[in-house]
Amino acid sequence: MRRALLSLPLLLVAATAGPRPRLLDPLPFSHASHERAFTRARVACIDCHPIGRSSDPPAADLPAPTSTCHACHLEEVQGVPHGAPTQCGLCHADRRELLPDSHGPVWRVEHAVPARADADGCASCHASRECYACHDGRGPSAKNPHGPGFRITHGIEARLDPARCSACHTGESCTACHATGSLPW
Amino acid sequence: MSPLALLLLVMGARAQVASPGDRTAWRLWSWSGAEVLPSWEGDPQLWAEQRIGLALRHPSGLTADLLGSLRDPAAGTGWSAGLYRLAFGLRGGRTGADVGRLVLASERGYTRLDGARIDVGVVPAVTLRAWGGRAWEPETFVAGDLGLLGAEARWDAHGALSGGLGWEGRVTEEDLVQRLHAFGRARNPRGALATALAEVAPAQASASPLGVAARFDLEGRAPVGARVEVGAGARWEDLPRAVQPEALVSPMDWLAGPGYVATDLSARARGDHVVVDARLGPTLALGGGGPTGGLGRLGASVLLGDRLSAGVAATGAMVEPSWVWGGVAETRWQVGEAAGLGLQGGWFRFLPLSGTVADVVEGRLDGTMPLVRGDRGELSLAGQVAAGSDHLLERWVRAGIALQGTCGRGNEP
Repeated sequence: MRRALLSLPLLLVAATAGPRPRLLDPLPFSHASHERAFTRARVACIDCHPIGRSSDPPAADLPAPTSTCHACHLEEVQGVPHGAPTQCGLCHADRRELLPDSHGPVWRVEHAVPARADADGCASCHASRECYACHDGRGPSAKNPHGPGFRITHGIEARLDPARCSACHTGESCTACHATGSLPW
Repeated sequence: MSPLALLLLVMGARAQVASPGDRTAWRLWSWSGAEVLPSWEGDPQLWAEQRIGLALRHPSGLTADLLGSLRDPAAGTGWSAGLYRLAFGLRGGRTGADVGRLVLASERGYTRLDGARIDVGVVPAVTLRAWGGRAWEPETFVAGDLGLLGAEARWDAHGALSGGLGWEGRVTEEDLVQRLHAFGRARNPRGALATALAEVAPAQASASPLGVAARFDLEGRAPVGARVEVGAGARWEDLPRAVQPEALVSPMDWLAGPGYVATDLSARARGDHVVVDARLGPTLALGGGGPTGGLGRLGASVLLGDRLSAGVAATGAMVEPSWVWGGVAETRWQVGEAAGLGLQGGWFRFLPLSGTVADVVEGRLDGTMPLVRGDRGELSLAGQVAAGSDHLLERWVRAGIALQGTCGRGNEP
């Protein structure tokens, strides 16, 4: 049994076959659907196909760099109409492929410090309401930012690093349960 | 979905139809959930909650944000309101102002403020920031007795080097406590990052070896080759966080004793489909009465094809006289962005203060299913069932459902 458990991670790694998904292929881009937006924003051919900066018009099959898409669909650019859809799934078949390396299995309990130091970085993918989906979840089975078992084992982590608790909690968080006599310290 | 959320959704749709030329970006979010905790003795606990979020961004730079909730923690006993954000702002480049109920994120942490914040870009690399108001408590949503007034100069050299110097006054009816802080961050193109923070209350004595109330935070991480990243950090903690006045001693302050050092060593390796994380964090009290112990975690996650991911993590921690060790396994089946099914389980062996070793088991099954999905919004149904056993509450089962909807247009506000 112990050997089987120890080999589980290796089995999981071995089971990962095939390339990771990238952009949708083919990309769901069409000049026809963009024509009105390009006209309104005065986007010229060479704005997306820089190789065509010669006097000749660029060939239709000259690929535009994918970063060109982000000029409208990710960043707000002066002169580009607001309203360009920004759902990542328009081109990225699976948003999980966009996960930064940092978002590993213990990221849920580690993200607090990086999130404070680089809030703008978080905001490039996340809306603030996503914070509250976990941090405001107070129903008995709501998502819990601390993970399974924390309701029972939190005393150890609270004693190890109480300053981390006080970043969000006050003493009332402790006394609400422990000082009423319903739960021991 | 509550009548209020429905009304706002209809209003938003009408506004969109009525003003097709308007470039205002907006997003409305609604979450309605209910949950039951069955009781074998015939007295089930019910829970209901409604959350709402609204964000507006006008091309002129005007912004408006609302994020709040209504809860009925024991159905039928009455609703209580929570307000996380109700703010209006005006922003242009690096200059702007926000007023209302705010959450200010900075290197020092999150400052929750009923008041105002002003940013002024004075030269290309330097921004002056000032804030003032009354601190509010994130669990009761009530603004307490602590007033905050602060100013800061921040500079940023193209993200490679940034830093700041600041002052904050913490005002109560009885006194004024002043704090000074400084922070810096350096980043290189290869992804190495170093951050430093120091915050001191010069006039506030402490029983720690430093003799003054302060906290310091030094952290760094750097890539080693293409697939490995290592990090190290150390914090000295002897300064209460922002929520409450210094005169109020909470259980957390009591546990902290006269200061302690919390360290953190981490390593992360990434393959094409797998990420392995390891973390070790000893805590050491330099004076008497503080915590001494440590925790460690080791985890791995894998992508199994396009739709399935799995992760396992083992963890252990001890602080005299308690310890806990165990593990968590999680798997998630995701179809696109909206539909998914997750299964999570954990088992821990635990020695609490009572001195009796106990096993803690917890499992959770959750799923999300889109009902309506379009370019301008979506409506989805989520549900979850959780069950477990522990040394205090014995066996328990909980189940709930939630309806979540978003709609809007323009760049994500």
